[in-house]
Amino acid sequence: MEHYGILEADSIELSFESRKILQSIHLAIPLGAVTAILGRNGGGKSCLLQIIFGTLEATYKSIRWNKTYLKYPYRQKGLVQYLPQYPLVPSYLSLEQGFRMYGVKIEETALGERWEQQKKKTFGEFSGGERRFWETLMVLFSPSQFVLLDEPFSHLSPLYVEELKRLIQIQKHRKGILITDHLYRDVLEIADRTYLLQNGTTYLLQNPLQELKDRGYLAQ
Amino acid sequence: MVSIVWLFYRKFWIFTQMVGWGGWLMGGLPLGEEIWDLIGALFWLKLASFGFVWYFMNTFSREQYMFFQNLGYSINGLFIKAFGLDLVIFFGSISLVQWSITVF
Repeated sequence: MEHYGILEADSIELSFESRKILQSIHLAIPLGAVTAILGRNGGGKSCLLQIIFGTLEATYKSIRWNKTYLKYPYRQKGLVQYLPQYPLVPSYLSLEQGFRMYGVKIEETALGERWEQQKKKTFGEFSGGERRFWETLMVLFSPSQFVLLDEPFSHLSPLYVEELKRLIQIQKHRKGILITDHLYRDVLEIADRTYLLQNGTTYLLQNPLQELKDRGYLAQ
Repeated sequence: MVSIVWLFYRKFWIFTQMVGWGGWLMGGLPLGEEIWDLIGALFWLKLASFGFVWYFMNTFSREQYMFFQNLGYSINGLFIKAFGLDLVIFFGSISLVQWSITVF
């Protein structure tokens, strides 16, 4: 696999009062690959994604893109986009407006009839799952080099999960994708590299399924 | 850019405009030369209302920022631009009221 660029995060340390959430983090997100982070609830996955994105201040951090240090990666045009766990788009925006603002070229998405039927609807008109699906696509298809997806499968029905996995696999040839979700089977299926976030530290897994059991993330 | 600022401003424009119009009403609806006596107070009132909105959103609804941060915008920068837009709309509307009274 050829990697054209890499977004790296290391030496990240985050504390809330006396409680250390993250420490000694090292994470590499190469272009052309899906990188996964798994970890327990409250383990700091979302915080880590926000630190990489640049909207959460850490005690220490080093975010580098192709070895260039970036204090606020999100301010670099076309570099990185983030899908948070909560609704992203103002409810009064239509699908068409949202996708246009994010610079998505619809003709390249192959969404076809589904898009034509839904594009005039506002985000507030969708059910929770449908809204999640469209917001994920908006971030995924945006012309940024890296996307950080925080639990994109939550609230999605199985068919939507399958569709999203397929689209992530297609998009990974154009960008670097970091994904975290509790549907670990689906995540492992599409991930090229998997990290476990445990005790505030990341571990790059060589044999993910077995190591997830060995490290106590999954039952034996 | 203007459409992004407008989209951001839409989140709280009713509140900041109401504060402005309320201040104008309390000041006795001055027009023409008289408005200059109140313009400083109205400016500070508007600034205070923006300070309140900034504090409220930072404390209770930071998640609403993410849509704009994904577009590469700094939130403080957006607040400054929205403040400018708010002043233009408010004082522009007062000028329009004055013009309407003069013409009709």
